[in-house]
Amino acid sequence: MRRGIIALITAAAVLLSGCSEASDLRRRLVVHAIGIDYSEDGLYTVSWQVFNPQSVEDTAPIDASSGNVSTIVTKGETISEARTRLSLHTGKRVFTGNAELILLGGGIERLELSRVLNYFWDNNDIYMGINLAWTRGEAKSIVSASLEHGTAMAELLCEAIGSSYEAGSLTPLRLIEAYNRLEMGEGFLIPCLSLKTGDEEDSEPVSPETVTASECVLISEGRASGYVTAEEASGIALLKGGLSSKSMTIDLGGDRVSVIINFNGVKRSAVIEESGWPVVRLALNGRLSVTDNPGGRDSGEITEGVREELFRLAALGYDRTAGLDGCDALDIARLLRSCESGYYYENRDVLPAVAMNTAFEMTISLWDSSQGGK
Amino acid sequence: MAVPMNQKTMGKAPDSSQNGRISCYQLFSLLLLSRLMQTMLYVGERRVSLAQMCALLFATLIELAASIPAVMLSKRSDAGVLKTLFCRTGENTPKKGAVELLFRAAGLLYFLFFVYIAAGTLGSFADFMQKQFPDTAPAWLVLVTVTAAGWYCSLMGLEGLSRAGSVLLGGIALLIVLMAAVSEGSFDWLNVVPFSPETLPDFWDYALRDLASSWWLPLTALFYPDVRGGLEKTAGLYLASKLLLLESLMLVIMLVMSSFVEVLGYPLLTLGAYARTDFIQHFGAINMLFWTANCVVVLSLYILAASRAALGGRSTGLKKGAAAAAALALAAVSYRLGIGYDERFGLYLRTALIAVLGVLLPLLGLIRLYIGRAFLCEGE
Repeated sequence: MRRGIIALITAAAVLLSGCSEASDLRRRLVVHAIGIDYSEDGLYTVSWQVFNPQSVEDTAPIDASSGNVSTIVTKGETISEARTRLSLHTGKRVFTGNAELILLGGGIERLELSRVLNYFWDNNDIYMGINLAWTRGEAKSIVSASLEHGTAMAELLCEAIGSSYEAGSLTPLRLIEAYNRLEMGEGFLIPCLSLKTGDEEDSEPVSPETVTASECVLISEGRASGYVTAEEASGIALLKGGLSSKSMTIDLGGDRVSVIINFNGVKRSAVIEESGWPVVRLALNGRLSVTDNPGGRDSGEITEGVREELFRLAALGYDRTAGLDGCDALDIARLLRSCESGYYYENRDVLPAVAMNTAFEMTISLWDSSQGGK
Repeated sequence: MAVPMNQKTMGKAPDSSQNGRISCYQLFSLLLLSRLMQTMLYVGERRVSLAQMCALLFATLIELAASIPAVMLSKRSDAGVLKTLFCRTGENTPKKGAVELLFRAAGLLYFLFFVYIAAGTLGSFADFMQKQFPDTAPAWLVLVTVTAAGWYCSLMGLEGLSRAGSVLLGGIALLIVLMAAVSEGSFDWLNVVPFSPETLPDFWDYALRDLASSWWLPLTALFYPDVRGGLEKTAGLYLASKLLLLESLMLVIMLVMSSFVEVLGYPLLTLGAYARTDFIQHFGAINMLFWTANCVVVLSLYILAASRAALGGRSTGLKKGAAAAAALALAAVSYRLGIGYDERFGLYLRTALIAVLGVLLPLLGLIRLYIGRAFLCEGE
């Protein structure tokens, strides 16, 4: 009898633990994306993209076209205050554990990034692998954008960044990575989303709006220091050895050739030269696949053209970061710590100067998969 | 003697002297759970580096050497570490007077040590719950509930506890493997912090922390009479598992999480921060379930150890209650005053006590077996 009671209590403790603070889905506000803007008067404007089950049948799945995804905007002197107001405005319990994306928008460039993200690092609800992105203009406009099939859902926005990564243009950034980079004092890139409307001159007449991920924001010394084009971002990722594939179209004497390069081996090492400055040696190996060659160009010619294009991209990446102001977005410091730790610890107070004077030696070996030769 | 026709024995005959004893593997699972609990509650103040990984290896080698007296003692005497200091066999008792007083004093030292360890675990667990799950329950409720559960489990005895421990260890191992498998983070070799003169303080700091967490030595010295032999397997398996588990954990955290471990503080919780499946969006709740269960099991192990050693006599319900109450009171006071038991003084104190209770006393017992005099014991 006594054992039975104990067993019952134990089972209840495990099985009913979720019932102590049970909350009906209708009384929960499930957040998918969080857009943050910062105004001149020191207020955060936070746009919460939420799943709203009350607008449709109880069992309806999350579907933007059904209108059960909506955006609620709240303001506060801190993000925490804005969240509290969200709860007060809606009368629901806010659940951010399902959020997929944090978007940083207008005004955030004036702030130290760690001050903005600190709330999320200390928040146990938030998944630490959540994607982080920047927006051109207000984050609110992206979070509440109306695409042809409804609201721009967080999953679709993440997908836009993922597609850019597969094409070798941008690299996604997660919340944990942002912390680690900021803590190390490194520079890094945040993918940037832009909203284009159908009536803009340079865009296709897509109805009514479209979101693209075609550039990045460079974070240097803990703050946003400017936009980086997709080409520069590719070059930076190339020098960091962080590209897994890259698609490109090169011009060979008027003939356009499209290729995809799959990088299958990247070696990076650092040595200190006699001049006292480091040299980063980078060896890239990749498999080249020609996807469109209307002019019937020779394989060797294509390989050489691609190699030159990769060197050009790398130079662009270097000039935009270390070469410009010593911003260490190329992982120079961590590489030195790994390969030349004595030098790193001696010079860690002057890392921008070290980064600015670091040279890169790059070797690219490409194998044309259609030819089978190097 | 003729064997009745209806009686047949196959294989080894049951040995009545082995009843109530646990296997060396069961003791191993309890010891490993105790070490895992310490890792779960360890607050990382620095990023994981190769220096810490080397320190773990260094500390493990010291533990290996330190475990020799207890293992050798278990081979030569079944009386337990306390009685062996005075008597050769468990049936005899220390002589009345000063000898008995010494015997009881040694027991009291073990009692106080395990009460201190239990209180430290309790306080750290309450602190963890307040930091990571502040809305769950107030600290006093966590302290009282876990102590009550730990005390009740200790009443089940070592055998029941070890069965629960084996199941729990399997569950925790599964959880760690699952979290590592579904982690969305990727290894970045540039996150490796190499061993250099600058990271030497990390080496000594972590070596001290690991040695201060090696109370499996006094636990082994105290519980070996309850094990059906093979204590060398327990020690070997424990040290190998601890080394493998913690080194792997450190490597994963260093390569995937880098310095983020300083934000959450708890390395095992940090591992869960990057893990997610479609079914489980957040590992926090599952972590809490296993951590709470482990805290109860480990706490009852310490209560059992304290009551076993208390004043040198047999373990009774009253002694278990006293141990639990003392641990609760100490945990409440230290929690209220904000005294962490991982402070530098606490680390030195624990290491010294472990050296005395887990190494020195078993060594003295071993020496006593060879050169001891009969005047210390009744009936020898």
